[in-house]
Amino acid sequence: MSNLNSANVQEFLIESFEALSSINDEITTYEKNPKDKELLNSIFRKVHTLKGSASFFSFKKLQEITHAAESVLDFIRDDVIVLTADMIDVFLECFDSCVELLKCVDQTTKENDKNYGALAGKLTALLEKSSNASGGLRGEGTKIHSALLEQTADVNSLKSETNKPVEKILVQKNEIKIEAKVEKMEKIEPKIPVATPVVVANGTDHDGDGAPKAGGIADSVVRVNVQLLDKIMNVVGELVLNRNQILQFANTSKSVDLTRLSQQLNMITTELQNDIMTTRMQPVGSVLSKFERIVRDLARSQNKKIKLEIVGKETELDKTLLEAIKDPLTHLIRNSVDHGVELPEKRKTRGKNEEGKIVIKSYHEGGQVTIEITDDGNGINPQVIADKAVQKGLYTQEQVQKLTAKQVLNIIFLPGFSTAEQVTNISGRGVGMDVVKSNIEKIGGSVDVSSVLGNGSTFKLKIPLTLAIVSVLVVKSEGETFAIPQVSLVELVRLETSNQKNQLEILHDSEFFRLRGNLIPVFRLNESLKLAKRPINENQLQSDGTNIVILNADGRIYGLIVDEILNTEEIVVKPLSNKFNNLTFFAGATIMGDGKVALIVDAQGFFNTVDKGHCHAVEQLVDAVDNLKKLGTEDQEVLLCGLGDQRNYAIPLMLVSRLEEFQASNIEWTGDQAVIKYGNVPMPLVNIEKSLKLKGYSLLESVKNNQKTIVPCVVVKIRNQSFGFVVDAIRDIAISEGGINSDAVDRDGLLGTVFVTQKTITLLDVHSIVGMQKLGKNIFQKNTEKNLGKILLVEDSPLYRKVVKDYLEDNGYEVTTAINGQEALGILNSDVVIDIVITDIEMPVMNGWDFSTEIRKSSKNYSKVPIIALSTRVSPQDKERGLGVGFNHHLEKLNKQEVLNTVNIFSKH
Amino acid sequence: MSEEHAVSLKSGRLCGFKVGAGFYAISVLDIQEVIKPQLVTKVPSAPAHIQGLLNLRGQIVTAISLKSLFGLDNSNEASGDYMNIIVRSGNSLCSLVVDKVMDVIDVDEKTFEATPDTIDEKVRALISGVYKLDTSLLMLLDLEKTLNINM
Repeated sequence: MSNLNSANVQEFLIESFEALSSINDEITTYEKNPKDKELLNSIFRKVHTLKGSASFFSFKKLQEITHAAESVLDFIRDDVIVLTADMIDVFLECFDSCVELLKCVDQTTKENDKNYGALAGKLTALLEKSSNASGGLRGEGTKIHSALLEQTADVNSLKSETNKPVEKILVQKNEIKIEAKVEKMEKIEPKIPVATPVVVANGTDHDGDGAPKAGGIADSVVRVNVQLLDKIMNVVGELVLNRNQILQFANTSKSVDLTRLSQQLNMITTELQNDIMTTRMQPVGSVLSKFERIVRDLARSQNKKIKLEIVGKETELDKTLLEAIKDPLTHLIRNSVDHGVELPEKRKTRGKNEEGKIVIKSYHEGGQVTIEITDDGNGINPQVIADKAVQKGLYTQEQVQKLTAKQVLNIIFLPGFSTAEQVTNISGRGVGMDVVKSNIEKIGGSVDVSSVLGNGSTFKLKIPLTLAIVSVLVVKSEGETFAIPQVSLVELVRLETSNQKNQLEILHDSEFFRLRGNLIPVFRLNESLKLAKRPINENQLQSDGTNIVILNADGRIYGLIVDEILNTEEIVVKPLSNKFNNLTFFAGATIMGDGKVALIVDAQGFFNTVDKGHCHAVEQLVDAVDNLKKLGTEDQEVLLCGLGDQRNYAIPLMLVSRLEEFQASNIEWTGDQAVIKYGNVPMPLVNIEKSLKLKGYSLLESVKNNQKTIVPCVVVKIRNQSFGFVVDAIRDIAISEGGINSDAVDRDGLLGTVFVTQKTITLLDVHSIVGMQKLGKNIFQKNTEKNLGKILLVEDSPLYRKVVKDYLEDNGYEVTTAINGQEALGILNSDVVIDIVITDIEMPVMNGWDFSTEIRKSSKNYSKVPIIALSTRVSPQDKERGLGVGFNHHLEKLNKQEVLNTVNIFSKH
Repeated sequence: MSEEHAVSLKSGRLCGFKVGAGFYAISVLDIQEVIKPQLVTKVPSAPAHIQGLLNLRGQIVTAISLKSLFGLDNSNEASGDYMNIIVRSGNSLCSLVVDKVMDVIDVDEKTFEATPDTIDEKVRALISGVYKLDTSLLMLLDLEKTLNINM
């Protein structure tokens, strides 16, 4: 009878069985307290709901029975008639029939073929009686039930023989129970003389059917209060903590039994935890399906044609979270309909299908649930957003221009921003998107927007699977333990004391740290929280370095200095009592494995509390630095390291293949040359200090004298041979500002100096240092003999020019260089035979695009030379443009192996 | 008001405790249990009267120092010389940090009086009245006010 999907029917069944069973209780209770209006109302509401759902699923009989019952109840509610015992019998009978019908639906998905004429008759009788009592004729009941009554007549004629004895009994029954209203009941009786037996028959059927249906849906599902589940969840959380403690204890104990038992406890607890988690899980479909209607209604009211597609309804999510994302999702969907999808005419002119499409996709990804809402509409115009942001005073013109496309899109999440040209009653009041974002973030999720103008936009929501258990980083400050949620964690940085002064900077009385060129504010956890200082000697213990936890608070990056970083742990979050309401530092508390309470740091709240506006000042400063950078030529990523003379050195990151730390005991000596087994081959270790004739001690020498046990090493691969450059310390990766200055080079092995965070750092020339080694010389000789071809390298950055040149030469090519397109054209015109041209794109005087165009235009032989372009970033548009001007290949600069591979391919032509 | 209070407390027995030199009491029905000092985690930047958080069989309990609330010197708490009276506050548990827990006392409602004006103001704000005992005054702590105080 119902062609609706079975999940809904199942839900309807569960709900109805539940309602019916409580109605049974309530109606008998009401019989005892007829004054309890609230109870009556509750019965009425349930019957009403039942009727509503029955008609929705078109269960006709159920609908009619409940309708009649509802009408009678309505009279009772209006005090037109008084509920009597016999009426209650009829009601109970009526509800029993409902249960019977529902059970049949549960088993066969259809209502049974039984006839409820008798019941209907009784109800009609009640109704008529009521109408009489109310004075007017409401007679609705009779009309409605005529259909059922007609049926009754047919059945009666068939069953008339068996009827008589039962009829008697029933009449007797009526006589006993009907008191004041006997007259009226009897009046009606003749109208439906043969109705009773059917009911009785039903009754016996009902009993008979009951047994085999024991496994029906009503029995297999139990409704549980979510609060109870929360409590069980909490208790399980405690069990988990307890287990952790027992496991810890068992590990230190020698008892085999204890170990075995604790392992069992471990397994059981884990299983229990998983099962409890699943009880809270619900398919997102239960929320998403509701959007079908919303989209349809909205689309119609705006004369749009929109098709909604829902993918991944079965993805499961914690019930609480599901509730929490309902509103934000609704808002996003409304937005897509309202602002996203265009009117059919507009879509037509844009060459799109008249019918717009919104896709909601949900899936598991990386331990989170992702929900994507994609429309194929307008897309978001970053220019419009930017203009609006300026107009609304959210940003200044200059600020907006500095934002990346992504940042501009994210403006829509700022409070008080709305793009709709006209405010509609659907969305566009400018209160939505910021609420969406904050609601999603409240539950530990994130919202991301991406958009292609004219092709639509996608909102991506990332939701954690559950709220109850969170992964945290455990840190210590002044002896106190704190937990920091992993969600807000970006990275961990350790500053060694030896060069700490170089890296923490003080501006406006606040400390800042330069993280790869970006100044970020840092706070000391102990000072911010005003923790009591421990005795000095303990402080000194950890003064050998500074641990900075880099956190992300809603896009603002900052550092938190802690004493110790312990480990990561899965914890159960417990809310703080309301006594700490105005304490914004913490998001809650938890109980650690040792039974101690630890506070959970709220990255956002912490930042809001400690940031006293000085971060704005820094932003301006950072802007200034960024501008400075743009003025400089190309920036290089370099690896900062220290040598024996305690000065800072750097190696271009491009040349570094790995960073290693070797045990001194593994180092072998062949004469004065240190060698270590690396992979399966011996790798020579380079004594940089000795090669460069630097003053001060050399780490490798100390190893020789057994003074050092750990040897940090930068592995550089030259001509397929690895060299280990032994350094004193590997410090950081940084971006050098501006070009390389080779004026101050006083010896071989140094490339020159670069600026890193406005300090001068010496760049090592690893090629020439290798060349100084006895071993290295052999290698170089081996390869320069074969000449694979002549390459013209056009590059304005001296460092990069040198690096690529060395690299290609190492691999058997002859390399000529030029610093810009103009000079390169000069070389080509001077009749030097060039096999391959490798060119940078951004160059002064003549850039790569123009240079290539010139080559291809030329009438000379070189017009067909293969051109490989190198640039720092290669976007698809760049690639296309490259093909237009005649590039044979377009590569990213940093991948030198790929550069070589490409060169090798072209050199064979 | 004292009349009303007396009536509502008629059936109650009180648990007496000592804070500094004063005797105080709350209804025994409000008390979940009395425990010895536990490992306390301090909450940085929390109000001064909050001693910290403790773990009671997996539940987090907020400990409130009554001495600090009454403006008394609470340095004895650092050495662990105190007791915790665990009470329920809304959905969470709180511990009243007191010096000493006394007996359960049956009080005669007739001896209940309004708070005398002579009592220190900080204390007066948190008690609902006093019982005159044979040898001393027993101050009835207003638990509701004490737990929800904002400082």
